[in-house]
Amino acid sequence: MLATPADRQQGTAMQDKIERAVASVSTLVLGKDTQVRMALTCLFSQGHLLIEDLPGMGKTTLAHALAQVLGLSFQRVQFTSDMLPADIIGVSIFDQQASAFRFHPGPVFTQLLLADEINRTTPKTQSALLEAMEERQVTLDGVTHPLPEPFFVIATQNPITQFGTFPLPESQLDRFLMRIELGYPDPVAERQLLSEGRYRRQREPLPVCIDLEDLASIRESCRQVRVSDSLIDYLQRLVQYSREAPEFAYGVSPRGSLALLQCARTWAYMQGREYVVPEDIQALLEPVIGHRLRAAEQVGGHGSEALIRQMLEQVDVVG
Amino acid sequence: MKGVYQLTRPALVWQLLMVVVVMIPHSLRLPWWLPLMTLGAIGWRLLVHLGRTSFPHWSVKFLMAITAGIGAVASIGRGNGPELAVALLVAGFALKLLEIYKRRDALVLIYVAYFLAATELLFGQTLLHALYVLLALLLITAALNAVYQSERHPDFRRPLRAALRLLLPALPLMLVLFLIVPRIGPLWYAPMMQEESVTGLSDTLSPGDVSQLTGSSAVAFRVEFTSGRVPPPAQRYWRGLTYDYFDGRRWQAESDRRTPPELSDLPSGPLLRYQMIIEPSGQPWVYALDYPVSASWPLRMAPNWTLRAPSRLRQRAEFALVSRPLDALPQALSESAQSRYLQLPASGNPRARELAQRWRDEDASVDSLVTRTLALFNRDFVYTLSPPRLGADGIDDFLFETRRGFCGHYASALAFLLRAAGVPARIVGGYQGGEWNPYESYLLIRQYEAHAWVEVWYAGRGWVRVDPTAAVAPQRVEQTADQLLADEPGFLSDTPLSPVRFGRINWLNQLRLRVEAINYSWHRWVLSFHLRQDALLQRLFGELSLWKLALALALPFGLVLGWVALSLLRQRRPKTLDKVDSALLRLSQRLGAQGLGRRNGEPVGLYAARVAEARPELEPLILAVARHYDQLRYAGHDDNAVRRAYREAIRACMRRL
Repeated sequence: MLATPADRQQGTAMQDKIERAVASVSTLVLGKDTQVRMALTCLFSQGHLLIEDLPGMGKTTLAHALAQVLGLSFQRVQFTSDMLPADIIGVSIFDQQASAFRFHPGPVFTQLLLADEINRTTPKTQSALLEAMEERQVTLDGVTHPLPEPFFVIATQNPITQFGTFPLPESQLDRFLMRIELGYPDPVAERQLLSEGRYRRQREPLPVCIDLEDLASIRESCRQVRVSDSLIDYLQRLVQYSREAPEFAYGVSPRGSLALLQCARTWAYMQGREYVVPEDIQALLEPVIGHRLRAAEQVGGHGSEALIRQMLEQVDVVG
Repeated sequence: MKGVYQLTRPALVWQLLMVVVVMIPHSLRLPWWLPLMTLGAIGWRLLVHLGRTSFPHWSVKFLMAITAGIGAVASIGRGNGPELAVALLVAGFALKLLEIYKRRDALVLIYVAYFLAATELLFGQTLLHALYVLLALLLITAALNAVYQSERHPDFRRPLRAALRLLLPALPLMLVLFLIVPRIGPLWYAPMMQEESVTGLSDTLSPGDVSQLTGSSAVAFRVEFTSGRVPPPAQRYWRGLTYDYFDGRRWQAESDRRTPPELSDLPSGPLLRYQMIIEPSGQPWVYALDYPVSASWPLRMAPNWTLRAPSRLRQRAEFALVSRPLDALPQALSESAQSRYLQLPASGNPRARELAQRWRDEDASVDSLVTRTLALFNRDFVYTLSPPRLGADGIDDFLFETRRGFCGHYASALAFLLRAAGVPARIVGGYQGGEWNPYESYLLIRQYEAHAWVEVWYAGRGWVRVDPTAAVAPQRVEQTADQLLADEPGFLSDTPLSPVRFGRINWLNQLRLRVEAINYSWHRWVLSFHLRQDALLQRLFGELSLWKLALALALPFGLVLGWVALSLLRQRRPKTLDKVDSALLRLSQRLGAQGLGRRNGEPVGLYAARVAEARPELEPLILAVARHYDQLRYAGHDDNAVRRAYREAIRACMRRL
């Protein structure tokens, strides 16, 4: 808990850094303050992020900008249907001079990996990546190669064009801590975007706002954020509701509720609060839980959005 | 077109099922076009639901309602209040199907269905009726539940389960109420029978009358002997009324206004005590074994040892009776009485008069006259239920031409001959026989056991019962009527499938007796329960007192309601709000009166911000409330200082409202 004045000072200093990071990412991804914060929450909570949106909405830009402000090494993989697991994790090649196999690491050996259009590739390749995400290491020919620390994956997928895609099954979606949508920019942001035009790309790289040391410190502080009994009650009621209400095909798993609490801690910390309030849970319910839910019947447009709205409206905060 | 409330499919199905079930028993009584109209309405309603058509325009419905009303009055007649009322109710019920625009309309239909199901009991109260009405109640309750079902997850079976869950706990309460609540007589009285629908004997007897009764196997009355002894079949003469006056064609019953006989007239002897449950006949006669000596209130003794109810029997009634079994009634006859029982019209039936005169000239003793007549009947007369028609001089035709007839013919011929010969005689109308039910130990007397016999006055012996039918068909008296009459074409002509017809098939007969025994218990313990209620309650509770009754009533209710409440509590644990939350709730309710209540699921902080925006003057206070609330609830700063600050902020807020 951030109790002592020194800690508090340190806390506010850290929050300033976070604010700076958000501000600098926002110079590239205009008007998406909330999404930027959510993406940061996801990364601070050591989770992988899935961005679901149409092409050209700034998914790649966001990932790139995040890598820059966090000072992380960055790799981008464009997934295609003819991709093989080796194209991601690397391959062992026989070195004739050394008379031995030598491991050539794939693009996954980076601190921040942007996996573009993850649903374009075959389940085999998808699962290779998702296993790497889960284990944070790659095993090839019996040799285990640890991935760099930290290791984040930001995957994107286009939810509309389903032709020739391999949609991720629920069990794979569960590996992502959060799923966010960027959405169209608001008119002000779009106008700014249009008037500045192509010159934006030639700007200098963004300054590093949060280094690895800061990252570790943020993680430690987030762990200290207080979660009261009342809040756990609320969280439990939410989870219970999703398991009982007939509109839900299945309820939120314990992994889901843990993820929600973890993210809420980070979110509260980013707001400079030492305790989680229901507002945090509510703000993160859609990105953290949305991709883990499915409506009982896909009739009448009950997507996960409607389910989330229903949870928010039906489960009271007080009680 | 305005939005029409659409019932879910299960709700509609339950509703239509409910309509059908409620309608079926009424349909059998109503004019034929009403069930057809209901079917039409059901069909229309289905088409509306399927989107093939829409509800009729109000003018169409108005026209249909007016037509149905006029039609009901025209085909039933205003004289028949309850049936007309039910017909109108049914018509409205059917037409209401065609205007279900809102949930409220569906509910109205359901409530009317409850009422209609209950009206069924106006027309019959047998065990079957009761079970059917219970079934109807279950289905109606299911329909009610289906209306309230979630529209997103309709289900066909759930409403039935819910209705069962609702009605089952009500069952013990129903029993308790039945046992304990005192019976109060009806506040209003609806004549359920038309004047014409009188059954049983009437106050005139023409030779052909009784044959109408032999067409019916309806129950006349049931008797249980409390003194233990059951008279043999040949002694089961149930007298109802006597016919004294003969106008040449028909015999008329004695006027009731004369003084009752002296009871001390009877010789001493064993007494028969019995309970009688008599079905509504529309007549005041109550039938008693020869000869009744006392009867429970409100019966009174009528002339000639018959019993009368104070009014016509339009409801099932139960009486306690005492009889002294005798074949003869020693009684002196005054001059005027003598002349009354010798009355004959001045002319008519010359051949019968001549025969009587001849017999009298040969031997004037009463015995010889009776014996000769019976011998005549015995010689070449035939007992039949379908006798040929008689002409103007009916007695002559019967005695000398047709020689075929049944009890009415023989009794009337014998009485005529005796009177013509100067012997006082009268005809007694009633029932003879009865079927013994071994399962419940009671005697069942049916309409086809209606009978007429003669009482002859012997100087010195008094009135002696003479049954001329016994001379022709002794089996009629010694066996039961159904055994004798089974082959007669007129027997049970009204009820071709009556189980009595198949009495000779043994197992069927036993089954029939069982069913009748159940019916009898039903009559005794449910329909006539009020007669036993006091005694039963006293046996159960000792001396009756108000508090004992109240306790007996409150205890089962408390148990059942408590059980229901507990099971509800187990299902849904109520939110126990602590002080912090309840203070917030109060504030939210106060603000709610101004449209600023906290929404479900709205965090307190966001709520405070919303209130602050709408009511800027409250901003610092409401934000303080939210801040303190968060401190107490989420930041772990739950100490007295914060609590006090929170309470004060709430109070300050309330004051500003």
